[in-house]
Amino acid sequence: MNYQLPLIAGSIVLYLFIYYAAGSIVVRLFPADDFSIARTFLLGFFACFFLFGITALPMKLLLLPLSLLAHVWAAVLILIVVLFLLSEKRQWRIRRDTWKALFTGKQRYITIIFLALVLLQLFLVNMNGKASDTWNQAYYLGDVSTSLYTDTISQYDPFTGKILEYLNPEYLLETYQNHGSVMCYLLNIHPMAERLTVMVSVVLILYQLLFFEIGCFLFKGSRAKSLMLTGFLALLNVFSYNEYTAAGFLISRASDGKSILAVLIIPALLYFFMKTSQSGEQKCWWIYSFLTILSSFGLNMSSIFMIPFEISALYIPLALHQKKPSVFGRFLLLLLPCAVMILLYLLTKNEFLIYTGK
Amino acid sequence: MKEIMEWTVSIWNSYWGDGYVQYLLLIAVICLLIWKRKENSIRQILPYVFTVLLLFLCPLSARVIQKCIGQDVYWRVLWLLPATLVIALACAEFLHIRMSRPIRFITVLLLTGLTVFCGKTLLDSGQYVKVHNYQKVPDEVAHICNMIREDAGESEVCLATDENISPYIRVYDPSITMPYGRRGKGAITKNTLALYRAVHPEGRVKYKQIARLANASGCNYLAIVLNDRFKQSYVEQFGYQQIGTVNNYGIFRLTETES
Repeated sequence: MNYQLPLIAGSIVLYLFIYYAAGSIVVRLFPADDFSIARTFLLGFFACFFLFGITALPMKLLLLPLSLLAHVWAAVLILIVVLFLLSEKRQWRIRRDTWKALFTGKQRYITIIFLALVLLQLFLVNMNGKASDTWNQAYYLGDVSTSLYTDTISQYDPFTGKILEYLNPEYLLETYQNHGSVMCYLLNIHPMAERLTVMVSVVLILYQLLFFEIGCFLFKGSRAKSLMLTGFLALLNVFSYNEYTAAGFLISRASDGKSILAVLIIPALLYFFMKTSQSGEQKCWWIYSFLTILSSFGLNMSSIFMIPFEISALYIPLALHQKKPSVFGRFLLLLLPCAVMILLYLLTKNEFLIYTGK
Repeated sequence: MKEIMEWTVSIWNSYWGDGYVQYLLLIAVICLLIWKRKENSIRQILPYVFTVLLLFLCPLSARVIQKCIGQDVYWRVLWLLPATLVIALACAEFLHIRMSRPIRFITVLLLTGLTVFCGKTLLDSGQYVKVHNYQKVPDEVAHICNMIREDAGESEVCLATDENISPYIRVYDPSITMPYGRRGKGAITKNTLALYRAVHPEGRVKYKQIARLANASGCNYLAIVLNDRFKQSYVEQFGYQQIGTVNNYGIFRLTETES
């Protein structure tokens, strides 16, 4: 067990580095007016899962082995890191200064308190065995373990260990569990350590970064006020436990795909919406929203219905208020991936497309 | 229409549970509306909050949404409501009203106390349990799996057990197969379905029936809770021998198939 602890800690750092690398490429391709470290991590997270989804899904449907997917994904990750290093070569001084500014002057205290807040929550959640709510996640966690054990991509029933006649149509288009299996294969880490410690920690860290970023936006760049907002948020998350709320999911099962929908995807779309409505001429916010939506389906299939409701509640009033056809047009563009995925989901759920597992 | 409204209200009450966080949300919204309604950010968030509430409570939209995502999970619509963000925002805004340091400190304590009072912690819910394995399964499960794996060596294992244990087994050790999983899912034959029902009876546990069905389902291991009525002969006649116990669970291995 002892060797797993450094491996787990190292995996968390590795995941965050990969997300930062991927996010840096995204912000390079679609730059906003300002550079934000927190936003870079988040965009990288969504970009990685979008890329993984388009890599894994064809291989899943073709019943290829998990080991092949793992090797392909390793190559993709290496490519991301190389592109990051090349693209940041010219800007590394600016980026270094941005990072350095976090630990300079009064900002240093805010950064330290923020990090302490994050560490405290990580400790609280990771020291809690039952907090993983393994009972409820048995299918998803079982899928990660089973795929790794059998070197297949979701071809075996996670509950019984028997090979399926056809891939489960309910989760056919979801690739989040497969990502867990792939990373366990590459890092030689136990599936439950990856899911219930590494991913839980990563999701918690990203959540704090997202809401700190939202706070900076709401308080016009004031990091001190944003820190206060993040502090109260942490308090509310811990002291408003209920099995249905997003806070409950964050504290008890952060690595679940549904939790990521509740605590990262939905708030991220709200944040990008607020940015859009303030500076709608900048296309980057629309692109960031689009990327978030594209990544969401692989993370959790509930996104295909929840996201249309959210973006309708956000953009229809905006379109009516601003009376701009372009806003309505872009809203329809955001809906398009959801419409395609709903169609695919209905086709596969009703077993019009069946894939033989035997 | 009336049924939808009643269901919506029951979902609303279940969502917030025993706490008073929804009242904190109401107070936060009122405070922001009164003091901060001219701020751009508030003018973006609050209309969205009202729109989501309208979507949730309106019977017409509720019917459509329930058709899409299912009635049982209608509470997920409330994930769209940024409740904790709005409350935290109101608290942070309130603390930046001009006041002296001691008053600000007392205000922080009061707001913290209010938050703690209005909610329920993970600790109170009974969800906080220390375990001693990094796979985060109950220690009992880890011991059962380790005992069976040590006994079986490299041989295949098919384990029948109850709902308290079965969801964790393959999460901890995927080499162990099972006739059914959580809530009997994956049970496809008549024997395995009957086995699931026998392990989770409405009345008395019938050990002979469990052993007979487990044998017929191809299970070479059993992990079942033993009560005062249990006798070794109940399972031995179907070829099972006890190899150990873990808390209340007896662990049995099939030594011969029923002839």
